[in-house]
Amino acid sequence: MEKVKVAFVGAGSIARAHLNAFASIAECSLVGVCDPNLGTLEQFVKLAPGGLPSYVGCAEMIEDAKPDAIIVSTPPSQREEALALALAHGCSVLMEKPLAHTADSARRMVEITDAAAGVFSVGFCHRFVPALGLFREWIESGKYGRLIVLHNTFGGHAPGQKDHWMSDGEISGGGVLMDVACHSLDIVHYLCGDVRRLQGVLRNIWDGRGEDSYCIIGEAGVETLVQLCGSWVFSSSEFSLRLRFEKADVVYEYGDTFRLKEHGEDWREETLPAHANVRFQRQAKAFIDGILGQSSDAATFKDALVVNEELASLYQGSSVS
Amino acid sequence: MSIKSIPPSEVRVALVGAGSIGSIHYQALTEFAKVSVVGIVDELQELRAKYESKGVRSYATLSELAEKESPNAVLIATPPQSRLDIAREAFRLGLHQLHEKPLGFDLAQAQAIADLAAAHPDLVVSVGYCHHFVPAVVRCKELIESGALGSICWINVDFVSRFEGAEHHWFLNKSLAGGGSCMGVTCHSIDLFIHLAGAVAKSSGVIQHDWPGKSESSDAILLQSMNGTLGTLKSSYNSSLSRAAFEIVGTEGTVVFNYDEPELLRRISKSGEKTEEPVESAIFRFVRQDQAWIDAIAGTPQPLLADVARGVEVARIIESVYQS
Repeated sequence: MEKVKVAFVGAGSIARAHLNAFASIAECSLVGVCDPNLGTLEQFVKLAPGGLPSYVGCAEMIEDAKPDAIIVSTPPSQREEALALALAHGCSVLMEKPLAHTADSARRMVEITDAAAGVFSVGFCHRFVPALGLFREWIESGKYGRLIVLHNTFGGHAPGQKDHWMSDGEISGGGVLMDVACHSLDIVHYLCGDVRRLQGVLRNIWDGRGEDSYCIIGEAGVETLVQLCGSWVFSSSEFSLRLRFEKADVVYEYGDTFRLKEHGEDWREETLPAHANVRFQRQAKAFIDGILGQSSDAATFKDALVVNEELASLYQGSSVS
Repeated sequence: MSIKSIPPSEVRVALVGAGSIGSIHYQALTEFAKVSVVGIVDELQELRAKYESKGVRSYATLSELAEKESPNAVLIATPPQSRLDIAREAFRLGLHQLHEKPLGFDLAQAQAIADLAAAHPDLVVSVGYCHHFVPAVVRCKELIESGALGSICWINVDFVSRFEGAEHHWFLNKSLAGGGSCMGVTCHSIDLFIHLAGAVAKSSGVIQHDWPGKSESSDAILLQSMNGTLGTLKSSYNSSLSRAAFEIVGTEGTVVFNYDEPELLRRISKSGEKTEEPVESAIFRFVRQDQAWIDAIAGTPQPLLADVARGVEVARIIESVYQS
C-alpha cells in the first residue's frame, strides 16, 4: 500500500512534536515542511530523520511536494489560509488546536470542509492520553457510578508568554484561555459529552496582551460539576485531572500512573499502559488511520467549533470590571 | 461615637440558639474567654434542657432573658430565618452582638442588620467568620502582604464532605436556612477569599440539588477580586470524599492548607521544592474569635473580627450566585 505523504505547515515547537510523532508512523512518509522563519525551518529539518525538503511558502510546498495531508501548526490567525490551500489541492488536514482564533473563523472552516473529501481533524491530543481513554470507559460503563466532579488544572510557569504571539489577541485570539483551556474543554466533551452553564473569570496582568490565567466552572454530562483552571504564571507547574465518582476518587498528574481511592479503601497507585506523552504519536496514528479509512477518536472540525464557540462565550462573559 | 466599652469581667452574654454551634460558643466564652453567659435562649425545650442540667438559666425569648438577666451582649446562633428579629430586639436592648454566619437570612436581611448597626455605632456588631482566626490563614495573609507569594493568581477553597442526614437537617430547609450549601458552608469560603484577595469584582456559580424539595446540596462558585485574583470555591454536604482545604497560588510560591492537618502549612517554592511550615492549630478558631469579640467590647479594636459590612458583601455574592 502506498504511504500517506505528510507535510508540515509551520515548523515551531509544536510542529516538532508532530514531526516526532509522524516520523514513527510506518504508514506515512514525510515530504516537506514550510515556515517563513528560516531559522525555525532549519532547526526543524535537522530534526527530521534523513532531512526534509523545506519551503518558505505553503502554496509552493503543496504544489512541489504534493502531500496527501498537511499538519498545520501555524499561529491560529493563519490557519484558515492554510486550510484553503489544502482544500484546493485535495489534502487532508490535521489542524493544531484551537481550530481558529475566532469562532467566526472556525465556523467558516467547518462550512468549507463540510462537503470536502478528506479527513479534517484538530489536535486535541489529550483524547489520546491513555489515562483519559480509561477514565472515559469508566464513565461510560458506570464502573464507579456517576462522575460527580471533574477538576482539571493546567498551570505552569511561563512568564515569557507575555512576549509570545500566543498572548497577542490578533494572532492567537486571546491568551492562556485560547491556548490551554481549549484542551480542557475538549477533555470535558470527550469524557462527559455536552457542556452546560459555563462561566469563567480571566486574570490579566499584561497590558494589551491576552489573559495569563483562567478559572472556569460549569456542568457536563450527567450533572458533573466541572472546574477548569489554567495559567502561564503559576509559581510551579501542575498538570492534573481529579475525578470524583460516586464510588471512587482519582488523581491523575499526566504521568504513567494514577492514584485511585475506591470508597472504603485506602489510596493506591495504579500503573497505566503508557505515559501521557504518547498522545502525539497516537493522535498521528489515528489521523493516518482515518485517511486510510478507519474510524478514530480524533476531534473533528465540528468538535473544535463547539470549543471555539465556548471560548468566545467565555471571553464575552468574562470581561473584568 | 466611640463604643460602649465593657470590661470582660462585666460582660454578660445572652446566648441565643442552643444547637451545636451555640454549644461551641458557650464553651469558648465560659471556659476560654472566662466571661459570664447569663442565660441561653432557644424555642426548643429539649435544647434548653441540656443547659438547664448544667445550671444555666434558659428562656424561650431574648426579651424574657433580658428582663431577668440584664445582659449587655448577645451571641446569636440560631438558624438564619430568625436572626433579623433577634437582632432588632438586641439593638433595642442596646446589646453588643456576635452573629453566626451568614449574616441574616438573605441580602435584604443582612442589609437591614447592617443598617441597624450603622444606627448604633456604640455597639460592637460582628459576624462569625471565624476562619480569620485560623493561624494558617493569619500566616497566609502575612505571606500575601509581604509579597512572598508574588502576585496572587488563584485561590481555591474546598469544603466538601458527606453530612449524614443532611437532607433532614434545617441546613437544607430553605425557609429556615435561606439556602443550602452556599448559605451554610460557602459563605465561609467567600469570606475567606475576600479576606485574602480583597473585594470581589465578579461572581457566579453553579448549584446542584441532590434531594427533591431541599436546598442545594453542593455548589461551585467562581470569583474574581478587584485586583484580578481568581477564586474557585466548592462546597458540598453530599460528597463521597471529604476535603476541607485551601490553596493559594501565586507567581512566586504556593501554599496549601488542609484542615485535616491543622498544624501544618505546606509550601511549594518556585523551583518546585516542597516544605512544611508548622502553624498553631486551626481548631481554636472559635475561641480566638469569641475572645476577640470580648476584647472589642472592652474597647480594644480587633481587626480580624468580621464586621457587618463583610456580612453584607458575602450575602450579596451569595444572592448573585443564586441568581446566576
